[in-house]
Amino acid sequence: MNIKIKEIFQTDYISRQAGEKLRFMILKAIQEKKKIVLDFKDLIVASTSFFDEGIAKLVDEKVSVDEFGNFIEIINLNKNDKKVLDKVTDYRGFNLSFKQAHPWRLCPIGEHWVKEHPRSSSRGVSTVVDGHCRKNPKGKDVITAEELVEIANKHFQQIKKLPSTKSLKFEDGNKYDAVIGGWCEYWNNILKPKIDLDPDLIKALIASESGFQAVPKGPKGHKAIGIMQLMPETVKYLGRNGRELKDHFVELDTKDAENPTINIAAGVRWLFRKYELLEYKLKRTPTWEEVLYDYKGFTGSKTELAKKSKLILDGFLKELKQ
Amino acid sequence: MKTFFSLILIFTFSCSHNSQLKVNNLTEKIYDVEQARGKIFYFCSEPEGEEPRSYLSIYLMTDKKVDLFFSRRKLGTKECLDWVKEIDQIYEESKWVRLVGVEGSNSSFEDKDLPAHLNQKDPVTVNSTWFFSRIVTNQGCMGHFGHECNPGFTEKKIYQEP
Amino acid sequence: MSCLRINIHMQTFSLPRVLGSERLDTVLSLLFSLRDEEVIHVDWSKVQKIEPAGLAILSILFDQSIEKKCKLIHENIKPVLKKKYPLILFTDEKFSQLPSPMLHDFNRPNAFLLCCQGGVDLRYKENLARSFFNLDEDLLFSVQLVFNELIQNAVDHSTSERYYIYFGLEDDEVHFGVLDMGVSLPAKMEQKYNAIDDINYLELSLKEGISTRRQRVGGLGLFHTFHMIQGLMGKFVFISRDGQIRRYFSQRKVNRMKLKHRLNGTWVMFTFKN
Repeated sequence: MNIKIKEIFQTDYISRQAGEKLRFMILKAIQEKKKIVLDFKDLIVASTSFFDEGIAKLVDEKVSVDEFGNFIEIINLNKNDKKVLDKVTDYRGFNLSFKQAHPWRLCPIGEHWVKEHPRSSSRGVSTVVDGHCRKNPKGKDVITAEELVEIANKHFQQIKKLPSTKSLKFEDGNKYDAVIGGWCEYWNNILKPKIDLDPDLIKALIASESGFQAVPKGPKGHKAIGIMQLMPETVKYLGRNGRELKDHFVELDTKDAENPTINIAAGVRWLFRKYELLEYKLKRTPTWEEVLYDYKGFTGSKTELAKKSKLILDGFLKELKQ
Repeated sequence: MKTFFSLILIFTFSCSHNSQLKVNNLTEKIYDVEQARGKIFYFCSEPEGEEPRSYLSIYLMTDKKVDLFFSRRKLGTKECLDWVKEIDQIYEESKWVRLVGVEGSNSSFEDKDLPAHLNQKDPVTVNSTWFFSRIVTNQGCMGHFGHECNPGFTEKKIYQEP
Repeated sequence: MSCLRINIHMQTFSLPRVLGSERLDTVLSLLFSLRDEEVIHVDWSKVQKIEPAGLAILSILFDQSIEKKCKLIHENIKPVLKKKYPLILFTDEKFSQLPSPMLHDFNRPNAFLLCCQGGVDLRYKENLARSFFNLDEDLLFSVQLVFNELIQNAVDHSTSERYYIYFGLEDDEVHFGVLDMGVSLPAKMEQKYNAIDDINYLELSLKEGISTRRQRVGGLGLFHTFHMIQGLMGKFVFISRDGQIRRYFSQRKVNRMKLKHRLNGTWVMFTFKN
């Protein structure tokens, strides 16, 4: 059940009374063993009282962090509100495993997911290592290819902002809508751009890059991989050792990049990096269209072919927006 | 006399083959065309940008028009030259060439790359442009992504029925 | 025949050059005198500027004069001030009872004042979103954090129905605050804690774990809120009953002093660099 905080707490979402109301809603959900999603979309709470009364004081009601995590999901929380929530919950010793980069994540920041895998065995005994979180030395946010798939499987059935349902005349034109919407939502939440990335732009980009063909790694000389045509260098740059990103790394290899779910997650992350670079270059906030054009090499190009290619991309965008 | 008639036959044959264009499919989205002993020019367009990068361009010349098939995105210099080498391997000894492109545009333009490549002065009018999908000859096949040369592949499968 | 000499005691208060969060002695003295006088003259001849905090202070002055039934005669107000700040104070309208709080509301592109009554009032968010959306996101968040905590306190503790919220830009500074004229903070604190004097009660209220709540025990108080904004460059002025604290965040300097004239209320006023 999705609880939109802005709707429920319309006139007062800052006071202790409001916080109490929230706490009772949470307690009821836990008692009834019902999962609820607290959606803070379009809201800046900015109230220590609300979060203290609403969530931190659950510790007084003998609610464990695990119980909270099992039944309560918090989404679309403003980054500064997250700091307030962390502060008040830490103060009361109700240390939410909310020190994740995102509520969908399996591991807290500073750890990354390792999926279940077999361990080499001897004397006919096979051992399987369960999926688990492993610490990474720098304590940064790292998401692995395996976790990307887990997140998509678990959460992408309920994505609210999907791209347009237009297929652009491609047989598989709508096949990846949930994945596109899901990763746009994820990276918008994590990286918090001034303007959210619109999933339609990713859909148009994919139409242009691959026509929605889940392209495996090509023959020698054909470097780009997958549905968003990631370059092998890009795959490397996205990782911890890529020396390109400062945080929110994506660890994958070129084989992983053939998987459309992983490819789109990585491609969108890379687009955010292009956004940063363009912002630095232009000394202003670029539009996402400008970032796309830059990604495709149209910016400043004088060739007719770039113009033709841009027209095709623009055509896809226009059709999606109609 | 025999030699004379043979020469006439060869001349007629080669002339007719030069204009022998077979359109397998032409829709808004797909252009599949074959030409026996067809004339194509292919090269990397003028590099541009910070890295710099080029489009692979393949020009199909017929009596009546020029169609241009180009890569979906700019390629790095080495990658583009690798693609050119691949085409060299299947085109040089070929008797016919088949080109398939997608996402076409019929708006013509004055192309300067091809004349520059041929050391000619005057621009060439390109009549249509397409994203390159694959090139097939009797020597082999090369696709944009690679899987286009797998048995059973057809560009029709990428698009919905019109 | 003896003449009946009637001594008419008329006090005159001369307001300072800048009406704001600095130089509050005259204003506090004036407020304190309202209950004892029937008529007070207020001389505006020195006043050049009204800062955002001054808007709230003048509204309080107006309301308090009505509540205490003291007539204020304002003299020598520069026409430019009247034109720039069409406050209820400058009108000729007479009120025998407290006017509606909305009559105090003041809204300009670079400043607003809201008089709130009867509970938590989040109208200030609309004003911020409408006129100040291009300020730094983190600064705006800090402002809201402080506002919300102070509004909460004003509603919970002061027992006064009204509180006054102001926000404005002055040069490259952001000014904002919440003022009320209810039960002062030291009066509330001394029900639960023991401190030497009002300055110490104010200091105590900013410490971790301190709260005046009895029902919802163990509230966070102001500590966490202030802790989160200490990274910003600026200062705040905190006055209530007999105590005054002026804290300069970036310099880690704190001035503590006893007020010359008691304030029966709590005023918290911030100034941050934009």
